[in-house]
Amino acid sequence: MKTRRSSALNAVATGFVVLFLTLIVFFWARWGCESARSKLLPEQARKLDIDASSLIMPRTKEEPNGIPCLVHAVMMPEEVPTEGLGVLRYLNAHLPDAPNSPLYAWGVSGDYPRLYYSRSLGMIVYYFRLPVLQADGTYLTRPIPDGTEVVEEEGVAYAGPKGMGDKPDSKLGRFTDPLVRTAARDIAHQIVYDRGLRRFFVIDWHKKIVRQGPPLPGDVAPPVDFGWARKQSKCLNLYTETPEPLLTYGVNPGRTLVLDTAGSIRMLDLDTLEYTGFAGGLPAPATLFPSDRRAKPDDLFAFQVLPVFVNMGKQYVGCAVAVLSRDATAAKLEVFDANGASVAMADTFADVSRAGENGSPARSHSVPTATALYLDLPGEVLTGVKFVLESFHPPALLLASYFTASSIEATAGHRSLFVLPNSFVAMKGRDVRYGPIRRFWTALPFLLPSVLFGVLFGAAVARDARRAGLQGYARRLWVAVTVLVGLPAYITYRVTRPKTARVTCQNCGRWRWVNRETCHHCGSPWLVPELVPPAWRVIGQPEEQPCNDPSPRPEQTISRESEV
Amino acid sequence: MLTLIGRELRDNFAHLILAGFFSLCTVAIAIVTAYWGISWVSLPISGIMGIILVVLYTTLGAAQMYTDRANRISSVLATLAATRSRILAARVLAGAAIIVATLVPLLITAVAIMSLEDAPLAFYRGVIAEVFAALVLTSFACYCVGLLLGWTAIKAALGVLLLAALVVLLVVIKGFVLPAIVLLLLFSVACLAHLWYRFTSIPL
Repeated sequence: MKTRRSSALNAVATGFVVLFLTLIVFFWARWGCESARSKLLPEQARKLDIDASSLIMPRTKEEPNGIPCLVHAVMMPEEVPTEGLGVLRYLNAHLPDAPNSPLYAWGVSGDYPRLYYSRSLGMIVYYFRLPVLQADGTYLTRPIPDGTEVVEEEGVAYAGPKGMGDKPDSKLGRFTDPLVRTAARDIAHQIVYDRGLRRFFVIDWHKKIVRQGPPLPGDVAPPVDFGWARKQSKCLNLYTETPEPLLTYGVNPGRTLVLDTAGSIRMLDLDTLEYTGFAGGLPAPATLFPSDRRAKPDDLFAFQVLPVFVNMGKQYVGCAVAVLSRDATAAKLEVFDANGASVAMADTFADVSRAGENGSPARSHSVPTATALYLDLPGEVLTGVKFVLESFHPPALLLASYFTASSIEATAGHRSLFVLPNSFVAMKGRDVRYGPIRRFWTALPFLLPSVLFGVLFGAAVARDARRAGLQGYARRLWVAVTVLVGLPAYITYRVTRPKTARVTCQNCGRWRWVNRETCHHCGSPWLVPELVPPAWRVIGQPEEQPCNDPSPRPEQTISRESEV
Repeated sequence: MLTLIGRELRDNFAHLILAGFFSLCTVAIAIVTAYWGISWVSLPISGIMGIILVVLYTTLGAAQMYTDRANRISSVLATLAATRSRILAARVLAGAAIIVATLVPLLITAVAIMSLEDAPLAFYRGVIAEVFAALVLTSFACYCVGLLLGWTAIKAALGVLLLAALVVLLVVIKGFVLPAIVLLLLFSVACLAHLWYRFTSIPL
């Protein structure tokens, strides 16, 4: 029993080691494919341009068609494989200016300002050197030889949801999970959303006040980002080109854009800290299996929401939203006006050359970039390699990828080992055009090769296990595990299968184990020869006939000749 | 047990010295580059030193088991008052001690430099802990790979290093995050369990 338990432990341990190493090899093979594919897109196919002049920019006497304004979005898919790796993401996330770092500003070598969220205090701490504000609202100055200069004071302030103080105090309350953005690039002016308290706050370090907004209604999705909302900005660039002194934030912003987890963009009034209206949404890029629904932030590898303000930030005219698909093969740009109505949108397209019907010469076609990258040479070859690699992935994990396709964040999918959110199966799992049954039916062609490989490996294991003489339950268990896990299970079986010495069975002539009572092929026991003395003898003279006469034998006389 | 650990340490003294030397080299590079403010230089050099250290830990494991297998050390020891399980435990503890002893100076240096440079240590404490844990577990996992392959008589050094590289690449894939740490821990445990089974079931 102890030996059997040890063998099971060994099989499980070996299985994990093999699975782990195999999946890492598969990962880097897929990564190579993705990396090669990211370089296939020509420069012109990566750019999106929308002329927003007559769409959102105000009309003037000089510009009756609206102030000239071009919105540009550029996707950079070659950055995606590297940016998707965990080690870079980890290092970037812990830089002082990273979007979700609790360290909002840190002047090195004792410089100011220093602004951070102290988890232990539950407060935002600000080490500052600020002009001294007097009671009349002016700044304190002092004379210098050339005139006057503003007097600055150094200090530290602590901000909690209920107020601000020079010392940490429980009366100030605690932030639980704040998302902090600097308003109008002024470090002394912060907009905070606390995920735990579900409220917006405005912190003014100059005036030493904290304003608290009402709690968000329960049916409103929580914010993901606000201000200039963006994700993976190295992979997607969004900018405007206009002669207007356009300020994204404005000098004294009275409102800002908030992107929520449902993908809606809303306008937040910074005086009341309440939503005042709908400003737009995240579009869904034209992927291999496109969706007509709005995308969510977690569905996209990268996005940028660029608010457009004119008149020195006083007038909001609309926003531009650019998104990059989960697999970085398609981008989309959409422009919304001040009322949140979509006024223009553009998808990335690439020109491909395809042969016409009936042998007519090849003609250039404009197709969505995702289609071009997956279905046209040389992307077609990479698609084949990707498909083969996915087919060797454990079928159980591939099935799990189908069911968990929508719940895994897009960037996390690029460093996923076990489930594959960017596999073809998972793409079908996210295909919301069909109902659940038809969706699963259409995903089967991508799932079946993996299952087929699993069955083939399972059959190989079954045949070998029968030959090796594994007992029935062990054989069935191995076959079931191999069908579910595929190649790694097969390798594990080959590594851990019993290697006991075997001899030829005298009954059936096949190999049988020496440590079994019976032959596992024919059930024959060991044929032990009976210890019966043979009927023949090897002696120097003719054998005597056995004498059955019970009477005593006469004494044998030895003749003189025989003595010689 | 202590005798067995001491014997393992004595047998692998060369590895201890080499790993210590490269660890101190990394410390020296970190201090010098921090002093001159050229931290961008220290990153690639520290990376190379890290690779050398990982290779050393892998070869340490392989050397321990290969020497045993070639010279039948455990077979001799098993005839005395030492079981194979204890011999393996002593071997692994000695290897882990060498790994920790040669990596702790790096941790101390990192903390010291950050303190001197007035870095926000309160925030980077978690980062340092995660990076150090990932570093130790990666090294230990590579050491376990070395143990495994040293015993299974795969003499191709390239194969050993290839598998160690795969383990290191896990950290590149996942980053210094909890899932990577958990996976490395599970991988190390699985390697040791497989090794224990093979090591304890081999005939004298």
